[in-house]
Amino acid sequence: MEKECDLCTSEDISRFIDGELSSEQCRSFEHHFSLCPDCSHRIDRYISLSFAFSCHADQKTMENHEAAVMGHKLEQAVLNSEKKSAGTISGLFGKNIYLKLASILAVLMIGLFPFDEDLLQGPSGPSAIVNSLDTEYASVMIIETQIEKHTIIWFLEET
Amino acid sequence: MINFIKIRFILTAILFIYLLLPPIVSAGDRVLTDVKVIHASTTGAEQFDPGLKGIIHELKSVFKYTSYRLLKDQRFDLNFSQEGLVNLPGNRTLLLLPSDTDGKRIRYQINIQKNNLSIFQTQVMLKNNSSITIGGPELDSGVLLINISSALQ
Repeated sequence: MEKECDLCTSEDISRFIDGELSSEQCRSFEHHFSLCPDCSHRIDRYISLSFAFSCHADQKTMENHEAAVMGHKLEQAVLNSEKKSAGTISGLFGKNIYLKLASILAVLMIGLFPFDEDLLQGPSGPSAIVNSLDTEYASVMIIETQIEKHTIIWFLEET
Repeated sequence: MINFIKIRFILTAILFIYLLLPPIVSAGDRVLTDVKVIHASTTGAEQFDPGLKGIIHELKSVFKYTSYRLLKDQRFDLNFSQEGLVNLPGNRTLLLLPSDTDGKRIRYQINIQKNNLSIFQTQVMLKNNSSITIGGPELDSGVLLINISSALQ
């Protein structure tokens, strides 16, 4: 363990490096440092440590500053992009313009298109429903075709 | 805020489209009626009139006739309770009267006269954009087929 000088405490050296001592005290410490190798060595260590901290602090400050500037620029860019896109059709509809337009079109088609149930699922009933029939001839048939369910009324005209 | 403007724009656009488009589905007050008078026979070569393209498949699925000849194709744009008249071969007359509709089917009074005497009458509910065929009256070694189709306007 290295023996420390009794005249100078660590606090004194720290205050000397930070420039917190009076000019008279400074001159006295400088005189002592020139004579005491222990204090001279300690002061060198303190100065290098202080310098390292100082550099690191500056670097951190720069980084923080750059990050703040970059963030601000990004924020401005996003705001400008939103302002520009709000003026265009794609801006009004967002990114998935085709998907949204297709959805609107589908809703309109469902609402407006006259879906014919016969087209979707085939004829739902006979083409004609015969409510009443009156003829002087006895032979009358009502026929319905299989596929299209077309109604045919057939009567034999007797001569 | 921008989202609110977008939604408002889209809703306004949809409303405008609804207002500008004409109503597609509407129960019309007029009936477009098409009457095809066909002579069907078994004599001669197989013959199908091009004007019967839409119904020939249905007729062939039921009848054994080889020849289907379109004698007359008459169209009427009738109001309800307005009568349409078609002169048929052999002193026959077809009288058609659309009386009302439920939106999907049209009620028709159909009357066939021969020498001014009613020989056949019926009341049918004919599906919109569909047809009915009435057949049987003899004509020149064949028969007459009367195809009546209707469409609400």
